Amino acid sequence: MKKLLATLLAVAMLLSVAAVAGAESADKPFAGVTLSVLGNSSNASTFMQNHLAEFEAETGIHVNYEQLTNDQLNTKILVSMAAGGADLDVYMFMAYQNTKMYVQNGWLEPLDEYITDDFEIGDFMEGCIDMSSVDGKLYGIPHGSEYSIVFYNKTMLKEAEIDPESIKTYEDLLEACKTIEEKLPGTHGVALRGQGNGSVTIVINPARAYGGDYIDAEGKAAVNSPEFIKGVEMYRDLLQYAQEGASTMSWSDTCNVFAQRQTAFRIDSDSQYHYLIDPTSSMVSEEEIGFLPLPAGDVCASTTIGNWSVGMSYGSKNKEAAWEFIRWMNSKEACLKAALEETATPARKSVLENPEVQALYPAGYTDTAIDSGKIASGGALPNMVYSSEARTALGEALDEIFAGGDAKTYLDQANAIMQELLDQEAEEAAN
Amino acid sequence: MINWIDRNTKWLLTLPVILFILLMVAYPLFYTFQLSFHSWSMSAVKPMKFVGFANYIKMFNNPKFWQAWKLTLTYSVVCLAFETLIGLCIALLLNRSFRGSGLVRTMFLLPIVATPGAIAIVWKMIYDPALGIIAFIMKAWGMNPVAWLGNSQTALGALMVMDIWEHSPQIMLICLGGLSGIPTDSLEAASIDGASNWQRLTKITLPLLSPTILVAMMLRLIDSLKTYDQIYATTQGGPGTSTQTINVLAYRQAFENFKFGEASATIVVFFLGLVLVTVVFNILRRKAVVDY
Amino acid sequence: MTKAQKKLLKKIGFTVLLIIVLFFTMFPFAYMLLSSFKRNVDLFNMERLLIFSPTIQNYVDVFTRYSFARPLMNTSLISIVSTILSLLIGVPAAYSIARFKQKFFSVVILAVRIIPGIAFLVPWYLIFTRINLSGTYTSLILCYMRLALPYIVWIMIPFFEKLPAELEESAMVDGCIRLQAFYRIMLPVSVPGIVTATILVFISSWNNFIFGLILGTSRTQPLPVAIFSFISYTEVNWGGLMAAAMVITLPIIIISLFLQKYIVAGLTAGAVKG
Repeated sequence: MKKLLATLLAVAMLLSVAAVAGAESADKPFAGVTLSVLGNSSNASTFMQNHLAEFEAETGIHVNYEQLTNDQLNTKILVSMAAGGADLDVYMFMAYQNTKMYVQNGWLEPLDEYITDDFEIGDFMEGCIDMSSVDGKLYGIPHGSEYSIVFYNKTMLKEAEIDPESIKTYEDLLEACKTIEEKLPGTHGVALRGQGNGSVTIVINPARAYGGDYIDAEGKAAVNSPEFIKGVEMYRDLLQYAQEGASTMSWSDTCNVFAQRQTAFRIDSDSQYHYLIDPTSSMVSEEEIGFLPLPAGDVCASTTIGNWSVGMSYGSKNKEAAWEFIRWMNSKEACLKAALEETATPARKSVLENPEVQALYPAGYTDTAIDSGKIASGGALPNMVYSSEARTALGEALDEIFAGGDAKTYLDQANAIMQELLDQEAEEAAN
Repeated sequence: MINWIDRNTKWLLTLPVILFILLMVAYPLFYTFQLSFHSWSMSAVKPMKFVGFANYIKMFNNPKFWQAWKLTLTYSVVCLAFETLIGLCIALLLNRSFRGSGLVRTMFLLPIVATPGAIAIVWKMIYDPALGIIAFIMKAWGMNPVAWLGNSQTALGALMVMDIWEHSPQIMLICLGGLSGIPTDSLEAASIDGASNWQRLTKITLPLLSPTILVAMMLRLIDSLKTYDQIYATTQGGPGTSTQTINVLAYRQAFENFKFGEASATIVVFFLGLVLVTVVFNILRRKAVVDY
Repeated sequence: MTKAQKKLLKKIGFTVLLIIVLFFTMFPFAYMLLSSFKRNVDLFNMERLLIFSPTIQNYVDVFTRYSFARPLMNTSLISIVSTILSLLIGVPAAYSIARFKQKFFSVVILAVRIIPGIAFLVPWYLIFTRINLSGTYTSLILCYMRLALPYIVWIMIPFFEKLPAELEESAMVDGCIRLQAFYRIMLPVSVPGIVTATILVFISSWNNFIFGLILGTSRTQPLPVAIFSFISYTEVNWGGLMAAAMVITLPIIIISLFLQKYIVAGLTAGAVKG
């Protein structure tokens, strides 16, 4: 009897193990699949370090995650796509720069048919979604978001008796910079990119605020329009109150200028806030830093929205599993986790409005992001296939203009080059 | 069998290398050559298109192409001139026995062997307008700091300084090797005849050393025309196109602007240029050896 | 001025000059070392140029947050294996070229050396993908061999040319075939040349950047590529960069300290009495 019982017990156990295993394979349709994923070496990588194992345990998918810097990433994607794209399943790309080119080349899989209601795609910021879409089709899920904003140093503004709330227009900002330099000798007004190529993505903000844009409503290059020129000239005026040596500096330099308390303001991307309040890299404390949405020109206030997007390789052999990964990486829960661990500034509205998240970021950060969302109008680079070539041309023009050259003359030249690139794009699309 | 091996030794010994070159070098080169007659953005949906010489015609009409050649040649020639001068001077200085000479030579070796990409980042920091030592010194003297690598007027010069720092020791060490081969008795004989130090240098040392210098210069020239890592790590050809040498132009055409046909055409012409330099080098070398 | 005074003066002048030159040569290394022990906030502060509270956090970051152990191992593996394989096929070829005066072949080798590396990137990637080797060590080792092989042959040819032909001929009179003569007689006497070639090729493999950039993956990525992970999209970690640069250059510096003689010999090979 005992023997029989033992046997029965053993059989029951075996069966239950088998049942669990069976249930497991139903739960884990992709168990055993290996995905290869490319990410940019910013904070997304920290997120992977923290959470990738959970995903692998949950799904049985094995992920080879590789992190690279922007340029390296771009190169890697390109070479892999040229070879058929089968050795890559998921990759991150800089939406405002690469979406159009990648889509025209057929390197990205449209994601619309994968998206289910529970993913709540409507929760993502519209600007981020626009940036990752071409002709109404979505090619990447935004991971993180950033706006151009104004940073300021509360202590310095107080010393100079400036009320940050009074800064509504670029003229106000100009005036405030002047006051700073008068009242706080030895410091400067604003930390600003002044190196042509680097500043293109910031100059576009005043250009749009004064009514200009890269490309006009007819699809023609328009960087020499009177409105655009007005914006560029405003930026040049601001540069008079920028740090020493501004004409050669880019974002990482202006970060340090602000962090070393050499200026009271800084215009750049809000995603860099962390460096500016980290005591190991900055002399500015978390309590001291303030944020403002970009001021208005004579037409409107405008800022750019930027984000990294997670896309699927057209050549992936495991598209369903790849989507599983993208879905997990950008789910509401993951987005919240990333925000709370400060590895990505949220691209989901619900996360940005989450009180826990708002409490975590420096005071005013999330409010500024929400306000920026309302004035955001487009990406930081022209929405065209050869956007980096256009950027180079525009950057060269800006270098000349900031050095004292006539804005119209040099922007005319840049415009001609840009139009040529647009024509080339149209011609290639027609063939 | 043994006879067969013995007769074909020279092919047996070189066969693996021949196979390697065919597979890993000849085929890729042929591919690049072929690509230079096509237009292709690596698109998955549009195949490459044969365009004949269009890429070449476009290239020769592109001012950036000529600018890149100018930059490449300026960079290489200026660097080479300074490296030879500095290298030679230091070699003449060190060509004596003194305590610690081994250690000193090792120190001179370090710039040559240290990873160029990593060292370039150190230089980038030295040049940085916000945290670089040069900016600190300038600020201390009441001057405005300059981003040496971020300014289109100074970027190429700043890269040259890096190159000169890195490779002057190379010419120096080669010259030092050459100097040790110069027979001391002829120098002694000259000084007995009343020749001054300067005369001994220009009449005996330099002529005897010139083949060595020439070869050292040519080896250096070929490598410096191809400089890439340092530029990638610092300016990536910028600001604008002010440090966009041929190598960087080709890379940017391909991997930034996605114009692979044009990039291949650039590479083909660049390679032909390098071949030309090498041919000249070999002719000069043969002459130099005969003169010796 | 007496002769002794003159001599002393000369010595002082020499020493001063030498110190100046060495200062400029060593400065970037000293700066790198110093900066690698600073926090970012100190790096940007002029007053803390020399006096600061040193931190080893950057080095800790290099191996923990940026997990450099893997690329360090990758670089070592790829460099060592590609160097050994290149020696195995390169040295016999160099001997053959030197002894049998295969002029055409030596020109081909030279041509291989001067082709710009960028010409290979796309075709190689396509080939390796097609034969399912993309991103593997095998593919990287093959690419690094493209670099190493011509270098080895280039250094070894003049070396074999200098060795007297009588050496093998006497062995062949004793009944050895040419191949045996090569392995038994020539190889042992060419050890110094082989050591030279090995070190130089190892160093240039260690330093190679572009092949790893395009053809490596996270598993196989070599060090000079990994260093760029300190430049992120939102911040540049200079202190970490300097620590990473130290980690990359240190092995090379150590090799140079001990094997200086061979490296110099390699640099001058082909240049002196070409």
